[in-house]
Amino acid sequence: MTRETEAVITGLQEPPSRILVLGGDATGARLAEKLADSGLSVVLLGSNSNSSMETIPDGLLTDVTGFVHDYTAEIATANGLVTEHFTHIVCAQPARVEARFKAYGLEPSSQVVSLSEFLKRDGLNDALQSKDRFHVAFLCGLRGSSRPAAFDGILRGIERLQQSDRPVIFVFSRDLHVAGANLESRYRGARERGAVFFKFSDDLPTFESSAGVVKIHFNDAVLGSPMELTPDLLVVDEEYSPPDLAAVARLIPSSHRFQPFIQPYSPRFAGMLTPKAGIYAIGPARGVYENDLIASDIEAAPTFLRSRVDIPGYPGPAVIDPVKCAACLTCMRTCPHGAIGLGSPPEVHAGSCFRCGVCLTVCPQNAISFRQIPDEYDIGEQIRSTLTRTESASKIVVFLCSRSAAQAYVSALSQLPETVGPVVVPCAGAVDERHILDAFMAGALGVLVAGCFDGNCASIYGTTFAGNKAAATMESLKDIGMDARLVRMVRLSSNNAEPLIEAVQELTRHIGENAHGSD
Amino acid sequence: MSETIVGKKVLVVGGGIAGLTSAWELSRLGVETTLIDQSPVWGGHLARFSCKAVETCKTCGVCLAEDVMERIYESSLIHLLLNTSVTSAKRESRHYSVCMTSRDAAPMPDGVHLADLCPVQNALVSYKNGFYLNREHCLYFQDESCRICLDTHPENQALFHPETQQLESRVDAVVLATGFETFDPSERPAWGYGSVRGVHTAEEMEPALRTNEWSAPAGSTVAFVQCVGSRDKRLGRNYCSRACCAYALRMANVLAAKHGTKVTIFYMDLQSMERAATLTSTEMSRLFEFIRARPGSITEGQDGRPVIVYSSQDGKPVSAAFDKVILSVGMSPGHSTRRLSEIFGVHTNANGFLGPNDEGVCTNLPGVFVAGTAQGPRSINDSVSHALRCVGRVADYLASEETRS
Repeated sequence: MTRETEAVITGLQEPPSRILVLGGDATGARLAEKLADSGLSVVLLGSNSNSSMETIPDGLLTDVTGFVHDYTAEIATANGLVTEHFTHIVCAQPARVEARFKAYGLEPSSQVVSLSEFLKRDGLNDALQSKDRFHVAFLCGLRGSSRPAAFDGILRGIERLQQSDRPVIFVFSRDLHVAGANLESRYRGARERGAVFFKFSDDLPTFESSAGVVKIHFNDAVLGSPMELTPDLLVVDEEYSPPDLAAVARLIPSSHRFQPFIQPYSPRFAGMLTPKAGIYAIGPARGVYENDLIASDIEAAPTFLRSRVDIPGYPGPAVIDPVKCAACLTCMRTCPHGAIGLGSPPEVHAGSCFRCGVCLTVCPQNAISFRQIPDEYDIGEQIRSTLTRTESASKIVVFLCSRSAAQAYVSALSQLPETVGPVVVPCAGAVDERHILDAFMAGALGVLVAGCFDGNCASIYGTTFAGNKAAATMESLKDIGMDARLVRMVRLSSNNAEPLIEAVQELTRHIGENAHGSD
Repeated sequence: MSETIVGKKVLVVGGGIAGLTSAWELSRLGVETTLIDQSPVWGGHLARFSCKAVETCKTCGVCLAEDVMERIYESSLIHLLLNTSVTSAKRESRHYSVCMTSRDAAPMPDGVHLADLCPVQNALVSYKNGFYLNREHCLYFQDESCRICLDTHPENQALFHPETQQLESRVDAVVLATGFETFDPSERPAWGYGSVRGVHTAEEMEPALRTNEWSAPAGSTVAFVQCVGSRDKRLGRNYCSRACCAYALRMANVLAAKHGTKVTIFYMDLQSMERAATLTSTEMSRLFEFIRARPGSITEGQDGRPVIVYSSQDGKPVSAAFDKVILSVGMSPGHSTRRLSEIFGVHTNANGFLGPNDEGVCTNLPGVFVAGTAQGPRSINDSVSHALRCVGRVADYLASEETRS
């Protein structure tokens, strides 16, 4: 049993958790009810619920501080500010939905309505009710980006209208986003029942408004002639954007990299995870707007959260030496996972530290180290021992990110020369200028820093930092009259060692040429 | 709830990303999981796919399999069996009794050393805890032309002739994560697949891209044809395969940016619905030419290159020759998906995949769940989400009265 699994199992017997669900519509309420049903203690903010859980329907989260199991939230309510404590926070607010009136140059009226407005209505307005036959036009992604969620709404509207044979239905669209559950077959169905779809690439329809009536002008490529249509009802589609997550984003120093969402768009952040322990994202907060995918998040949430509720963090978090620390707070402002709290010295929260080592390299005082002793990531010791083992004249030290390059290195072992000495680091972001120079001091003739591609780093900008450090070291080498090209940053993924093999070959060649050049 | 599920047993069928994720998440709950795959390697389709990063990560998610595998090998609650498939299943009161045939091999005792001796690539597949034999690539299993592993290490004998074992397992629940197969484009001869040189499926491009052996000279022309076997009612495939647009764009980007290939994309509607558009639309229109048309036919031109005939927007027929045509083939319910639906008696949905018509994970049978592309087409990232949803329902089920003995 792994340490992590063990912790989960024992942790589950004592769940003193109190989970804050940030809601705002039925989605938040449904999620909170699901969590409560599974035995978790839940407080729902911004939505009503019929179940017996604690709710603050008119509450708004204005500020939050702290760490997993210890969040302090400031909530604005009708009765003023209240302060509450939570163990975990789930962002399940609804998407912001805005009709594209402005983008199309339209004004809402009895003829021109938004899709949500149209779907909310029980029936047609009186003017249409009295007509034997009438035209309804739907606009679908003619400006901005569209998504399956919007097309799903349009199809719902069409399917409802098609229950009667009085409406004649037109859809004006660019790409139809049918990549959702059953959307393609529903689209075919709508067409077979008579809805007319006009698709455009660049020659988009225009709208003319006179005496309060909107006319659509468009060119149909197939018919090859300009056409016009004055619909009795014009349904305008909507743009989706994530809810306001600023209060929670402030907890995560790396969030500027993935705002307005609270989850980086990266394979490293599957499910509801965010870079900060105890903060989770559901649906729109992570850029998912489709009903069926939101439902999926909600169904997964209780188990997903439960299995992560009591993880005590990675073993051996970073520790700050109070004697060396100058309390400059650089670590706190940089930690990608928001694991460092205010203090003198600042405090690393063990349950939030992902052990990436980024703070170790940004600290100007070298005051931060990993607690676990012996440290499996003792970089200095690794450099010494790897160079002792490497039996060749042209030794190359390769710093390997444990999350990508280390796997790639193992798979490429047979294709790498024996001159390569591996040094595994938790994240490439843990490699400092001084480590690279240490490697040269210990006898390396070249150094590679191998990390993830930007956008794939589990510590968001660890790999960016690594690239910067490598570049800075190259500058330093140049300053002291050494060959700057003896240091390189290489980016790769765990399943593709090719860039590493190429970089080693190139560096080896370069070292060889250099040696001859100095003869 | 959860105390009661510790020690429960679940069989996960299929070692692709959905199966791997399901097994890992179940093990986190204290559930004992047996994970099986009929192939000799873990990872399913992802084991063959290449990383699509060009300077930055393009969020394809192919690396996820490696990520989960590494964690899975550290879990003592997951029992791994390769080369293993289900032969029969029976519901007995609250359990399923599942028979499997297995010729799983242990890791090579001296894999690192042997990998140096092995004359072919990918015959010894490395994972965290050792090297595994891939019969598809190993010369011994093709024509016995190589015996290095056996001659130098006679103790490996057993790995080369593992006896087929019949296993029986009693489990509380089953997760079917048997994935998809790509559509076979030779079903419609007009696509020229198999008859016109230079016409390939996108998946066939993967090995060359993975090993960086793509050898087309810069400036050569490649056409991607979208929706081959998707959104095609005449073929009885009335669904969008959902992942192929983004997949083709990522692959096209690798070809254009890394290899200087000129890319043309034939499409109906681009499904780039992902949150952070992998490539922005301006970037794409700079890199690729987009033609909104469904090719009528692909034939061999006079110079031997494939020629695509399509109707332009105003309905006129146009012919264009390319050095290569890549068919973005859609997803089909796999062979093993159909087989397992018979073995278990699981109903298929409107598109022939397992389980419900909506995006759910429950089947018509209590205790049998479906995860990932076995249920319907979806991307890698969505398969992970679907697996998490599945684990949520499995956990509910395991905690319910139905499995209490």
